[in-house]
Amino acid sequence: MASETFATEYLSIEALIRAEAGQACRSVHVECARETSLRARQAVAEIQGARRGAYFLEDDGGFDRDTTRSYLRFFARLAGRDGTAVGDALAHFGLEGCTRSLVAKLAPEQRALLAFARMSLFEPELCFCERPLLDLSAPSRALVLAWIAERHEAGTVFVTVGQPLREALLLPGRAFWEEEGRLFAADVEEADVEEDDGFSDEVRVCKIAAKAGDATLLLDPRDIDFIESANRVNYASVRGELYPTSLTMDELEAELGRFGFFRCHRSYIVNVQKVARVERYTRNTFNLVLSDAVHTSLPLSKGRAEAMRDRYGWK
Amino acid sequence: MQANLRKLGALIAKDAADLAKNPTMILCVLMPVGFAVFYRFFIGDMGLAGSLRGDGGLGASPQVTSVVQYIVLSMSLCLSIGMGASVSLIYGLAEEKEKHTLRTLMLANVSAEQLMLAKGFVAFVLTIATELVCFAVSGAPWSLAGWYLLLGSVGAVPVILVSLVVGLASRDQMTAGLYSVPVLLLTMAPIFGSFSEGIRAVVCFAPTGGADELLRLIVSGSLTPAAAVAPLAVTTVWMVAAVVAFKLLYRRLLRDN
Repeated sequence: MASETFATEYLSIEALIRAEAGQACRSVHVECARETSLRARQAVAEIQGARRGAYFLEDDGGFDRDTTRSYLRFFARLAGRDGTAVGDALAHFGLEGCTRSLVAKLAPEQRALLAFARMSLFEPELCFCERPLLDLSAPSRALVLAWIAERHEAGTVFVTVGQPLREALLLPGRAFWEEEGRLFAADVEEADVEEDDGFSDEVRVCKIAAKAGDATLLLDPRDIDFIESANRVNYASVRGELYPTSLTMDELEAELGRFGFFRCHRSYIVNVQKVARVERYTRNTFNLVLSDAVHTSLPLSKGRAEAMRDRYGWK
Repeated sequence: MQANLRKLGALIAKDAADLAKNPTMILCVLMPVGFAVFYRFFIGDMGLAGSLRGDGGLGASPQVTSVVQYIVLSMSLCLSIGMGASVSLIYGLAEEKEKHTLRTLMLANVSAEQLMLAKGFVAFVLTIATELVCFAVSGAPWSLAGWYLLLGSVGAVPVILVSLVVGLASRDQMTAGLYSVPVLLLTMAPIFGSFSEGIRAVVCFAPTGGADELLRLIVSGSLTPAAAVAPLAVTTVWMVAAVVAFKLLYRRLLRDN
């Protein structure tokens, strides 16, 4: 059996989309600038061919005089679906409470859910999304991720663009990040995690040095929600703010391990005390939802999910 | 084929429902109707109501009768086309472009042709409906209704095609406000033809000029094949020019959306 090839670098977004979403029919999620997002949309339109497409664009608007239900009925008719499909979409995306609300009066989060409900009516084979999780709270994010996972399992190819990389890593498929026009794979699959519990009785002072303008902050590990590595810089997230730190991910993992931090992904170290729940959308897609103010979702690699369960004795 | 018709039906139903909910569109219908009512009472106050009805009234001559009927029907026809086929279409399309509604539809597997056909059809029906209501309230004799509606339909087609192009060329509603003015003025120009022969000699070349001139000939009872050649030629030229402009531009303008 021929093995699949997984390129780790592409010279342009067009080449990436042609190879991954076009030829290999793999979902790709790209952390990139706005200009690259626009090119990505054009590239997706070029490879769409006869495939049923669905698009979620950040600046989608209009239909202000429609109600949620009439909006979905209209698109259901375009898609050749009946009223049952509209009811299912309303139920799946938690929009049953606002069926008579005017689209113009919906909150951004509801509008995003409505757009996903609209896309779901078309049962797309190729789906392009700009920042799909941008306006979503944790419960809505779970609804959207569940739909994406379900469609992914059914063979839909997703191409998503936007920032941050964290959102790209939450979605099923391959994640890439952009630097100076080139796209690099953010590896999701990794070798098994070395078992090093990092616990000891030794009392040591531990502060994480991070920059905030000209000042150097010394962060208490208990205040840190997670560590994120993006574009070759590591950031400590404290109460929703990201502070760059000069320590490497390995150094941070070693330092923070004894304070209850866990390397949940190559690019993430999470404060396990802040994890509210673990979500699983497909066989290989796990997310950690934190109990911070915005209920941040972090990716949990398949290999590390097992290690995490073992370390903390979760069943 | 069935999918095409289903999508077209959905688009037409959506555009028609939008008309009823959009204050701008309601105004587009109410304005010509309001003017028709105003003309009726204005002419009544001048003691010419009988001439307008075509029953003579205060011994008005046939010439006065035809002039009165032509003035009222010309205004109703041109204003109905100007507001129903032009302004409503340009503003509606500009709003949809501004809010990216057209893009959403085209990315939802709707073709440019289906979009344009639905919009054009709804604008055409709106124009005919407006013309009919205007006629009903104007007080003109119903014997003229058939010709009036036929000429109203013929005159509306080039204006609808031009308005589709202008609407697609408008970036937003602000631009639509600017672009719709010349189209509206050109469409309404034949109304001023009754002011003098000199003005009529110019405005008869407007997009609605041919239909308006034919209406004048019918109302005055002087329609002959020879007299109809020039206005028919004007209407045909506008029709062909509008079709060519539309065919050349609509795809590119929709792609820029």
